Amino acid sequence: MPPPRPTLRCIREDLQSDWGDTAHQRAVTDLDSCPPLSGLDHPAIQHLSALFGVEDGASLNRESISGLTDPMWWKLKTSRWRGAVYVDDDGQTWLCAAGLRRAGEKSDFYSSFTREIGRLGAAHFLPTAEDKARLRREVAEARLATWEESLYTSAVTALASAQISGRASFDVPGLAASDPALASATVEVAILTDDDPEDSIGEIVVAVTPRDWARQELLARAEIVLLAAISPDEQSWVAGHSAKQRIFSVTDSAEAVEALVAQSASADRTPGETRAGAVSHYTHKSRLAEHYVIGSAARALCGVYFVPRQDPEGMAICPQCETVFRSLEAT
Amino acid sequence: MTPGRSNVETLSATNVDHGELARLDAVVAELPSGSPLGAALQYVSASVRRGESVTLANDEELLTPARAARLLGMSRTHLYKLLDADVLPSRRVGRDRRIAMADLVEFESLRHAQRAELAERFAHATASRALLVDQLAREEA
Repeated sequence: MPPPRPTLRCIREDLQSDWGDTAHQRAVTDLDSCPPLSGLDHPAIQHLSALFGVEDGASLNRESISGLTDPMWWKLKTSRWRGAVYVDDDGQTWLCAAGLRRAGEKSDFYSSFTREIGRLGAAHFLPTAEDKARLRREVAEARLATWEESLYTSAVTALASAQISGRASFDVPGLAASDPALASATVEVAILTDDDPEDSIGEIVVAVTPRDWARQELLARAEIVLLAAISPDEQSWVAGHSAKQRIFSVTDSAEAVEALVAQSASADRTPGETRAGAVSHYTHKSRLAEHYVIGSAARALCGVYFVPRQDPEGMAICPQCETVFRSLEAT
Repeated sequence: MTPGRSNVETLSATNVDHGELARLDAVVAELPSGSPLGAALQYVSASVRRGESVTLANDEELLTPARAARLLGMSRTHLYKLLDADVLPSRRVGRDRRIAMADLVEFESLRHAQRAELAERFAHATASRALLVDQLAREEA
């Protein structure tokens, strides 16, 4: 069961002050940057979890608001705040109304709340479709994040293992424990040493064999997480697939590949986080604006494929592109 | 250069006599403008003048997998997987394989879509993830 949480109406209209982190109050409108609503930094919300978030439904200190039965409401009391709590049919706990405790005033929060229920109806305070959609989105986000973390760990472990034994395999699991595996993945590491250490080459090859074709977007996400875990530089990867496998490789000096393996294990990275190019490339100008605008890939003179999305000013120019460009100028 | 049947020819920049280069440039200058042969010869001349060696390959020529991998900018192991899967045609020579230059050129152009797709997926990863979360949220209902 997800932890107790406030409704959006309660946050917007009732919790006007006392925020521990005002950024949280502002963040509620921005879906992408907002933390889960149950974790917002406001004393009423934090006390909500302490009191109603415990597993024993026996509710040691819970007191109902007398006079209200359909539905029943529970009291929330902190030093400065009073709140009205509702538990829905699914067992999800909601903070639906809150107000500052006013010492010495004639009408307390619960009297005025009861009056408002009478005037506006309970539905005015109960969680809306938007509240429930928000909760579902948070649950989905948490499930995906957990799945990504375990995938990241599998990739890093396989990479370390492949460095020693040459190759390592693992399953790309489905989202739920009961779901069948999405794919099987193999990581191969090959270090080809030459007499001249400058000519030593290192290679990492990732091959993904899809098994469950129904979950394309999830599998696509898995690939990004896997590749990012092994080598976060986007332009280091080369794609070349067969009919049954999706194959990606990195080629660099032996030293650079060994560094990649070491960095993957020690870094504290966000799963799926990648780095765009560090040098600027030459590409044909006729479609460059189009690529910037629609986010399509351009082919650099040096052969690298990339989506132009950074300001090239201030970036070093790709030496391979430079060489090819000069040779074109000369002809 | 000896007209070869089996070798990919490399002209090393340090081997070229500059007097000969000048004579080549004179010949090129006499070709009609837009001549493909003229452009190719001019490319050779310009590269060598910069100190860069030039490799010439007959389209019928056969490449080793190591060579092919280098030309494609791809890992050797990766290339072998594609040879095994017959995505890139090859011929057996002893225990190893050879790849025809013409096949390599065609393969490279077919891969364009795959390479572009990967670059685009990286670039749009954040937006794609948000859509995925929305989709999963709908399934929770």
